[in-house]
Amino acid sequence: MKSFFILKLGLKNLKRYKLRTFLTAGGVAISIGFISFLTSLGYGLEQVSTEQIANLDALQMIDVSIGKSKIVNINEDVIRKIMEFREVEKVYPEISVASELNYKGSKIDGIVYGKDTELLAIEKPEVSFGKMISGNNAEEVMLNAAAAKKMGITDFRSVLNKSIGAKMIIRPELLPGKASAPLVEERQVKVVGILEEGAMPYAYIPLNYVKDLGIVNFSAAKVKVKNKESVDKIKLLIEHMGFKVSTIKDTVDQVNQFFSVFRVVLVGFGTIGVVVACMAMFNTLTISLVEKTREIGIMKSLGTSRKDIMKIFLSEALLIGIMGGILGIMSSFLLGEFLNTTIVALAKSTGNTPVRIFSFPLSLVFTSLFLAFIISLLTGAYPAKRATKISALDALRYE
Amino acid sequence: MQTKQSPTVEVKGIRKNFLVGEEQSEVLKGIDLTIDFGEFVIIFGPSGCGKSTLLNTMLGLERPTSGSVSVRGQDIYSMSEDKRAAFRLQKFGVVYQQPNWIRSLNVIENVAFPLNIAGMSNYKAMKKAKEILYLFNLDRFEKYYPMELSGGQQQKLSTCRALITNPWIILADEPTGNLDTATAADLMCDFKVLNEESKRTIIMVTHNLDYERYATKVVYMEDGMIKRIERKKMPSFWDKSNQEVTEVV
Repeated sequence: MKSFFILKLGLKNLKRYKLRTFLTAGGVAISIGFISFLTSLGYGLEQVSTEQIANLDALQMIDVSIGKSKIVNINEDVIRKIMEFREVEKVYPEISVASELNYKGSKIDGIVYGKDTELLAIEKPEVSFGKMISGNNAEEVMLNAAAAKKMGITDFRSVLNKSIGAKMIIRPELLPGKASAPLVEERQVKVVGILEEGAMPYAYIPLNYVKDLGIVNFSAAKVKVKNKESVDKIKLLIEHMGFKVSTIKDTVDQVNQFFSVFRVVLVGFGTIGVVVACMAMFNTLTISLVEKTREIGIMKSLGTSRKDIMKIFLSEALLIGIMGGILGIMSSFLLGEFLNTTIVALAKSTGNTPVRIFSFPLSLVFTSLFLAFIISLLTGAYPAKRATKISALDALRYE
Repeated sequence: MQTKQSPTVEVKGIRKNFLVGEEQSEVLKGIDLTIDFGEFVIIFGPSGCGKSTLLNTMLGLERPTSGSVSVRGQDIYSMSEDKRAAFRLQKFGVVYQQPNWIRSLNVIENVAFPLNIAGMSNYKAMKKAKEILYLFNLDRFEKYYPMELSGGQQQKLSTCRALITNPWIILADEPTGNLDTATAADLMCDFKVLNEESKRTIIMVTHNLDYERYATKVVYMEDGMIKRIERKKMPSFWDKSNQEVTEVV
């Protein structure tokens, strides 16, 4: 028997009992839809978390600091040595100093970070007003919203292009030689942007501008490697130089691990639905077998082989399963997209960051379809096998 | 001069026991029967005498307790079940008393079904089914469902389905059982034409003695045994002398 005819016969048999077919496929659709909906939530949440933790560039970054060491320092020599590793693309030193910021007589304590503009371009901090600092030597500053608020600034736009005072207290270990007292320097810098993030007050000032105050040892450094795969190797090499090293990859790995478990829990709930759908489908196929007993008899007496009888019954099970699977995946996708759109719209209207908490990677679609296929195969196998064993004459006598 | 060849169907020493409750019931008690090419054999007997069991045994659906059934020299019970099914598809056409249909298929699809089993492309199978429906004047019902037709039309349809694979042998189990006299006579005429003009061997089970006149051989059965066999004139294509000879065995 040709496969095309077996499929045609399967479809015709299902068409004959439209309501029953619809209800059974509906059961499969609900279970597959439920499971793919929950899994897409797992994927979506994971994506939101990892996106917030790290963009692609961040995954290639290694944070280097001296930790509690009193022996090692991050200076130009060290940076040169790290740059000599073949896999390293660039090293971005950072300086952080405790500061007193003042604007129109309002003084607050905060941290001033000397930042490389190139690094800022990679990190892409969210600028809610104004722009990023223009160059590494510019006399400019970016305040975070918390600092601005603490200084009594309510209209953030009003402070843009205005000068603020920054009294920086530079720790002795950042200075050359064996300085014992901190160096205090006060500068006037122009506010060019307001940053969204952070609860504690801080400001970004161009790296060279801070460095030129006489700093020779950097507070920390960020190392960008050429590809993600080399991160672990370079991390180890820098560790061997005596520095404390951490990567965003470690955090992402932990998040991924958490969401793998989370997905398994969600799939566990979905599995209950799948089991119920399996039982319903099995019931339908068994009833269908009883109803078709006479037909099996006539097929066999006309010369249909047992293999073809099996294929006919399996094709019906597969058709129900695949139809249900496609319907379920489509429904969960549409529901997920609807919820994503609603959440994004709500977030935008309330001034929050829009997030898409449902994600449908292609692998999820294929896995769900494969699951539907397996369900149909499992539930269809028994009635199909039984059909092959029915005696043609008994079947013909069946009323 | 006619060359000697294996009989179309040869039944040798067939016994068939059924387990009824805890007792063995012997339905066929040693049947020997030879059916030659072109014969129209009617197996006649009262209800329960074992004639349908004999027919199903010849068809390869009822394995005998002992004995053998050979079709053109091939012992059909030495084959596997699937091989026997393929053999049945090729060599036999079957017409039952109760028309049995695949209910999801329409008239033309049901008639084409044996060709689909044989693996013929659907297009070719439908074309052939259309031709045969036309011959039996049923082509106008091709899109109907078989159950929508009358009993007589359904039996004709059964005959169409039995003939579509161009088999050697037509087996009919009480095909007129559910038909009125006129429709039954019409169907019998179709069988006679098939026997005489299309040279098919026909084996028919009935308990209606009126159909004796269509047969070239009448097998009388009683209590699972053949009581006697009457040979009548062979169809004109087979026996040119056209003399009626009745022989009591």
